[in-house]
Amino acid sequence: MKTSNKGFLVIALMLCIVLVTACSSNNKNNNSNSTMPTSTATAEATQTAEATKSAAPEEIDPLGKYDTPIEISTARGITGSMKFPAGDTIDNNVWTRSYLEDMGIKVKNDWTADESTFEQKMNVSIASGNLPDLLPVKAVQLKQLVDANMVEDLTDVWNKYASPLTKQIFTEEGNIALDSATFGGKLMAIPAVSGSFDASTLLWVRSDWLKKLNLPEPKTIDDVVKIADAFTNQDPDGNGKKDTIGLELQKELYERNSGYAGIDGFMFGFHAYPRFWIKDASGNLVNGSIQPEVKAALLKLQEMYKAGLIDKEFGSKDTNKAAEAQGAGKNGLSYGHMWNPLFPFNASRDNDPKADWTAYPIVSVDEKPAMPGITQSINDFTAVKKGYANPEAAVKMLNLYIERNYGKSNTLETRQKYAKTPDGIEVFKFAVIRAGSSKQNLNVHLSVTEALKSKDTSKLDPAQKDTYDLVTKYLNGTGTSAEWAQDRIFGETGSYKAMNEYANKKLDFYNEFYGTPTATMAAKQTTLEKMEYEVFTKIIMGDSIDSFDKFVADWKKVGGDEITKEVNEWYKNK
Amino acid sequence: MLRNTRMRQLPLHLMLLPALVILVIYSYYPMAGAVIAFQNFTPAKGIFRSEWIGFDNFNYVANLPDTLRVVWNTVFIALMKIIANLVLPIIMALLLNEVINNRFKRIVQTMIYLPHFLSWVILSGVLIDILSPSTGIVNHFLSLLGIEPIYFLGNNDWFPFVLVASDVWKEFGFNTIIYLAALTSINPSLYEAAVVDGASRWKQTLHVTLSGMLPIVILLMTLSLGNVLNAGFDQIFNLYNPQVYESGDIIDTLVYRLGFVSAQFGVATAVGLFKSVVSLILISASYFLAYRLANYRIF
Repeated sequence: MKTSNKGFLVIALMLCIVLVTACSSNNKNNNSNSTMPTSTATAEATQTAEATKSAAPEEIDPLGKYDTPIEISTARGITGSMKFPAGDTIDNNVWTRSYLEDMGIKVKNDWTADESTFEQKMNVSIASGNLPDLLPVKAVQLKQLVDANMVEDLTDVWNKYASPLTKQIFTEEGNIALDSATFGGKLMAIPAVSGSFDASTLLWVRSDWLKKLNLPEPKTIDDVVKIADAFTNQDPDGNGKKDTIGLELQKELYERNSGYAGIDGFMFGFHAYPRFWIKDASGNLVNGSIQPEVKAALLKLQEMYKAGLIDKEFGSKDTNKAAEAQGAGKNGLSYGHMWNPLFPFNASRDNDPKADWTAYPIVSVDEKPAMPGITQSINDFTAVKKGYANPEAAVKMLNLYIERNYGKSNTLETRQKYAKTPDGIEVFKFAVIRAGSSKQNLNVHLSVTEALKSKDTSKLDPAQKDTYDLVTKYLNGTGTSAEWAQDRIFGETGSYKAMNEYANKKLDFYNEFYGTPTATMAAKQTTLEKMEYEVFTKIIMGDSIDSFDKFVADWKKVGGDEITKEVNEWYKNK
Repeated sequence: MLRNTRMRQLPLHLMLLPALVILVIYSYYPMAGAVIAFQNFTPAKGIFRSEWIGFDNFNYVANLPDTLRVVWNTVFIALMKIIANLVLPIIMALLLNEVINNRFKRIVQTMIYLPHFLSWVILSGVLIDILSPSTGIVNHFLSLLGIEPIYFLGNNDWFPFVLVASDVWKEFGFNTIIYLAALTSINPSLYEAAVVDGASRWKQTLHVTLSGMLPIVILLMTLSLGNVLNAGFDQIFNLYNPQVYESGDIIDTLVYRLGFVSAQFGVATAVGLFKSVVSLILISASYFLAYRLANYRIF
């Protein structure tokens, strides 16, 4: 009995000791892991800095390779549309291998998260202080990091290492991009320039239904209502049942985030710009959400909803659920972006080979032309953690991406290897830092349509030739819904035809505010936005329009007035 | 002799230690982080360098226009869930207890237990489809009875009840099993004695079965009172939408929007701390009541 007791005691004690030591030794390991490399790294950095100082004159190669590979950690967001070639992962793919082989940069992913939760996860990462070296962050997060002095000043690195081509692309739409990442005269992050032009809202119409019902192309808001009415009541799919509707919406109301089925384009047609900061008659900035134009647009939407022209259940549908209805051939109108044929229209094409969608420039309620609203403000940035020894690596990786996509090395071979594989996998998404030229896609459309007419493909660059081949494949009748989508975007009557109209007529309406959120904005924005979602949704679904006036009063009271004041201060000191 | 008993118990106590260590690491240590409720917390500055601002965060939340509504929704939904999740499983357990066919009993038990294992992410997708006014099966049945379709997920009168009903549907199988377990511990001789005394089936249920279950009922009720401010985040987050913010927005979804969407960690923690304090008071009160009224103690 006694011995067995002792045995118990020993086992119990050992259990505890093992557990406790395991914990403490773990901690030690972690600590040493995290401190060691930085200290040696900074030592190396000072050494190299000294070395470069002594070796006058400096020579900098924007694409130069590190002799001893350096390591850089980061975090990646993953989207549902990301596809990987066999054997590749987000940690090991054509870009990570190329960074290592061509530049001597070993990229390590500290963590990955779905794009929808990435921002939250990054918040947690910032809160815990456990940051990767390379930080893909949103504007609010960047401001916090800058205030806390946790990110590296990139001014010098940018001036020295950014290639001329990179600098050119970053100033294509003026200095706003770099300005939005500049704090107190110092560049604290690399803004994600992608060209706000490509995010212009378009009106998408199910053109096979339009033809079938002998309807004219939409020119005014009234036409849109008429088409919606016909799509609802005249059985466009010919199945004898009244199971189609006109306009598709979804519960987030705006397509700025999701790119599909928003009310934005409809609002723009009423010259209403909800959530934009616009200049009023006296030259001050006011918020677009509380303007009378919004009220008029909401009233029209309410009318359409009452008549059954809008999805009755849009209020509980997210983008994907709304897209399902579209895939099943249940609706024929939606406001969205130029890429909608790739998602979600390809689904309706797959289900019904006759389904066809055409984009039109948004239409106006009166003789004043409708202008698509564009938010210039850049929300995505890549910053470098304070104390990271090789901040220039970020700029170099960017140079590499830009060189391969827009530079001399933009050949068919590099394109197939680093942008889009011959079987259509978009490997460019794996690049850690990316940037886009704003008129690149429009140029593809213009050159491709030109070549389609002249049958002369010699002037096309590899990317354009690629698109040209896909479009011709569709036109020859051998393509699948993927080739169809390319034609609906870049082809002769593709969405870029409408986009080109925007560009030619200079139809664009810019959000005047593009700074980082002001103090009250940071504190009250979610409350105000929630209020707006709730009131607008309910008005569309039948609530009295008077609640709009109450919303305006509440909006001002709850913090809107303060935000307006702060925004105007920013505007004056800009 | 006393010393001997202690020596014998010591190893058993020591075996508790690992569990205690885990409790301290994962439950007590993070509690220290609650101090950020009194800070203007910036993640980048951390706990030690953020500015102290007293009760400003609490004031900020108290002055939000939604706060009253949100607290009311939370308490309303949570209380209905607590009551429904207490009463229905008891009835179900009593009914199942009377079933003689063991096979049937097991099948029913498993079937009602199954939804417990599905996450709300999946169930919300299912619910959105079956509750749809145009294509959903529920409204299809209602229309057969001549009732106009109801937009369950878009109607503020219905939404809280949909939440309660779906939560009960998901969880009552699990709770039923707890009560069934309690039933098996009732001494059969009590029933025999009741029969001898001429008690009917109904009287037996009332005086033997129910009173035999009472301790476990009180225990579960006491524990669940701590949940009065927990209306079920994952369920509501996946089901709500702008139309039903009015009846469906709860403290946890507010905290989510404040803390994670707009990164006001101090404010979110303040709300969380408030919730914990209220829960502590409630659970202490119900513990005290359970002792006074039913002479039942957990510890």
